[in-house]
This record gives sequence, structure tokens and C-alpha cells, in this order.
Amino acid sequence: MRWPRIAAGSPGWEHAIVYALAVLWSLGVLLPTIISLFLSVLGARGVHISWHASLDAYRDILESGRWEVVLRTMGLAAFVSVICLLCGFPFALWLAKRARPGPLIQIIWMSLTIPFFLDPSARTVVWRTVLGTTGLVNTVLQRLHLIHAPIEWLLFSDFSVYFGLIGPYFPNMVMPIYLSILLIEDDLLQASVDLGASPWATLRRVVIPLAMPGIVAGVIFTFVPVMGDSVVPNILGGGNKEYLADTVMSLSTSMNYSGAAAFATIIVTMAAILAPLFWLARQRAAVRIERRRQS
Amino acid sequence: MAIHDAHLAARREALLSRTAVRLTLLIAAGVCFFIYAPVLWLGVLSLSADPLAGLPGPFTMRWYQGLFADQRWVEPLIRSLEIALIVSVLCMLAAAAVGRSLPRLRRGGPLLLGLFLIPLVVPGIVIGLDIFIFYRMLLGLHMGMWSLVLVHFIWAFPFALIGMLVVSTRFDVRLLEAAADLGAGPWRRLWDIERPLLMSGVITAGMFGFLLSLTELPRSIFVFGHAQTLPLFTWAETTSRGSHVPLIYCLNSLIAAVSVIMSVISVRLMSRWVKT
Repeated sequence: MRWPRIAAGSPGWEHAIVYALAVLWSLGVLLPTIISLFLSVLGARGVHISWHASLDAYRDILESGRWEVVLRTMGLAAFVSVICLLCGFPFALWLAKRARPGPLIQIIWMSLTIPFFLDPSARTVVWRTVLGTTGLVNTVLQRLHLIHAPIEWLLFSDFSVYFGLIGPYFPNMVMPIYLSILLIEDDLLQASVDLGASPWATLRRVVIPLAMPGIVAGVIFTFVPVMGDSVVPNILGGGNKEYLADTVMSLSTSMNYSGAAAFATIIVTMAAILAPLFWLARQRAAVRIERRRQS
Repeated sequence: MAIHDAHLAARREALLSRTAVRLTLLIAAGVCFFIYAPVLWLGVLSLSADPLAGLPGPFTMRWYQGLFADQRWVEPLIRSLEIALIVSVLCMLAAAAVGRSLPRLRRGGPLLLGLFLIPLVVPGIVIGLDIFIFYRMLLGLHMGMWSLVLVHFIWAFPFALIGMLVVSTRFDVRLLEAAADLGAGPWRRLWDIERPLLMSGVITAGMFGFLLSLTELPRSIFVFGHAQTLPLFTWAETTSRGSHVPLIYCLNSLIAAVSVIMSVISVRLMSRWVKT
């Protein structure tokens, strides 16, 4: 993003408001988020903290075998991210460089925005009537005599959980990639073509490296929220397999808050590991553009 | 210029062949179908006599009439609207204050933006749990409407700020300098120049805040105390597999319709400024 500068005449109190809000935000939102994670190394009885440092919460994760939940959820998040990336990258490329401005673009933007404003459990529970044994898919297939008995694995299975998460998180992947491709100047693509590069080479050596910050951001925006999604596994998973959010919810329902905090810490750690990759990708893209300019 | 553009268009054509474009759009349309099919289906089923059967129909308004008979949803809806309005106003004020000045900061702009956008990469249940642990367990405050407003604001503010920045980063600050040269004071500049030009960003921020709060669930689950919102009501009904599912279909069809109309308005407001 380019930051326009103002020469003079901008009063100090305007900036003071921004700094004040940033401090409030840090103290009221960011600090609690970080401090709360420390509950995982303290004990808690009900809603009262007992101030004895211990790693019991983490030992419980290992001993109860709940580490499998972490691995399973990471697999789920990775799968959803990869599918969203494969479907989302070409789409974002088209949207940023090929689509002509007009009503179609506006409609696409709206359809990518609206999913954020839908009730998560309402839009998920509908899949039950579509995928269930007496649901739409099975009824139609049976009426057409394509199958004789209803397909059971469509609902309350791994399939329905994986499937149910792809739609809701698709916009999270497309938007950052779209923005990063939009920032690639047409001159660079032009130069690559003029120098005789094939479309594939241009894509691989110019577009993808320069869009890498957006790709990494898209993966983070998809992977991390999917790790913490509590609605889809609960409504479509049918309780066969536990995912991270189920565990966090059931631990906090049984008032084992330090156990819940331990799992929250694991999720935040994943985000903290992934976040620096974004800065790395940005750095590398910037260096690349600079080198192109000079040569 | 026209020749250059035509040339460029031809090159872009080479970059993405026609087939690739069609395939891309087909896949994207497929994914969008998976986003919207359930919402449309929700509407169809809310009109169907037996919503839990495989095929819809015969169609009836019975479930919508049922909304008048079973009024347990009224209180959560009112509570949700109250919270959404408060969050909306907070988002407008905060996004306006931060969004108009952030692009003009000489130092630290991107850093501050990053600070405000952090909640985007923290899953809802983590925010909800952390806010509960900090404010309830550590500070001993009782959860209620204020904590719902807080977590909804945490969820909505990054989006509201982005909506505001789409407009405010395109604001030409030279207009303010020109106004100052012509003798306009700070308040005059704010009211006569910035307000009309940035208003669409502020309205977008408010709408984002309203809609995101109205449908927020994962954070609310941890901090609702004795208050109940409509998404919490829906969540309780859907997970209990009760017989009130038709009621949920009707209610959420109406909410989805409101969401779609409001997002169409806010995206149009934003894109008007992107074009100019």
C-alpha cells in the first residue's frame, strides 16, 4: 500500500486520537489476548485462578491423546487452504488483470463480501437437509435410479466437514491474493512478455513471486480461522471426530479453562509461526521489484 | 494510447489463454455456488410444508405465520439489534478517526494498521475465550451486554477500518491545503471538505459493523452471560436438533435478505469511490 504524505497543516490532535485509540486497543484487546494464554501454565478452579505455575494442561493434552485432535485439525485446515488456493489463485488473477470493470466485477465483489454477513449456524445447518440420508442429493439420485440405497457418508462424516468449510473460507483466500496481484504493475508483465517469456514463465517467474505476500496472507487467513472453526465440525461432523474447536468448547463448558487456554495457545502459536512468512514474502517481493527496476 | 492499450490487451490474452479463463471462472462459480446454494435453499425450505423432507413443497406460509405464535425469538432479536447498533456507531466513530489520519501519519502508519488488523488472524473462539479469561477470571467482571459489544467490536473493527481506508487512501490531501490557503479553519476543512468526501467510507464502516455484529457467533458463545443474541438462539436450536428448525429457517432467511441488501448498498458505496 502506498501512503500519501501531507506536507503541513495537519494538526497534532488528529494524530493524538489515532495513537490514543491504538493504546486503548492494545490494552483492551491485544494485551488480554496474550495474557490469557498464560492461564494454560496456571491452574484454575472454576472461574478462580490458582497462582501455581504448572504444565499440567499440556501434560493432559499428551496423556489424554488429544494431541491427535491438533494433528487432525491441522490436516483439515491444510486441506481446505490448498483447495481454496488452487481455486482462488486463478480466479484472483482473472479478477485483477483480466476482468473488465463493470457490473460483473461489482457482483463478484458483493458475492465475496456477503458470506461474512451470514449467520454461521443457519447457513451450515441447511446442508443437513441437502446431504442427509433423506436429503435432496439422495432423494434425487434415488428418484433417477442412479443409486438404490442412500449414500451414508455424505453427512456426519469427514466429507461433510471438509466440504462445508471450503465455501465459507473461499473469500478469505481470494481477497488478499487479488490485492497483491492488483499491485503488480502492467509494465512488469509487459516487459516479461517483450523479453520473450512464455505466459507460463511470466506466471511462474513474475506473477507468483510478486503475488507471494498475498498468497501467504490468503493461506494465513484461511488456515488459522479454519483451525478455530467451531460451527461446521459441530453441525456437520455429527460428533464422530473431535476437532480443535470442539475440544476448546467442551473444555470450557466443563470449566477446565486452563486446558482450553492450552489449546488456544497452540492455535495462536500456529498463527505466530505463519505470520513472519508474510513479512518474508513481502521483503522478497520488494527486493525483486527493485532489482527489475535497476536492470 | 489506444494502440498501446490494444497491444497490452493482446499480451494479457497471451498470459491467460481463453480456456484457462473459462476453467477458472467455472471453478470460481462452483465455489460461489457452494456459498450461496445453502442460503437460497434456506429460503426455499422456509416456504416448504415439510422442510426436513428431501424435496421441497408443497409451499406454504405456515412457518412464517408460526413466527407470530412462538415468540421466543423476539427478545434475542431485539438484543441483537441493540448490540449491532452500538457496534455500528462505535465502528463508524473509530474507523473515521483512525481511517482518515492513518494514511497521513509520517511514521508508523503500516505498523498501526497491522496492530488494528491482528484480530483477523485470531480465530473467534480464541478471542472469545481470551476475553472471558481476562475480564471475568482475572478482573472479576460479570459478562453481559458490554462484553458482547466488546467482542463484536473486536471482530468488526478491522473490516470497518479496511472499508474506511478504501475511501480515505484515495482522498487528495491537497484539497485540504488548498482550503487552508483560501482561509478555511480546521473545523471548516473537516466539515466542508473531508466530511462529504469520506462519508461513504464512514457509512460502509457502520454497515460492516452492524452486519458483522448481527451474525456474530463464535466469540459470543464465551461471553454472553445472561444476555442472548439471535445467532446464539439459532446455535442453541440447531445443535439441540429440536423441532423448531422451520422457525430458524424463516428467521434466518429474513436476516440473510437484510444482510444481502445492506452489503449490496455498502459495496456500491465503496466501488463508487474506487472508480473516481
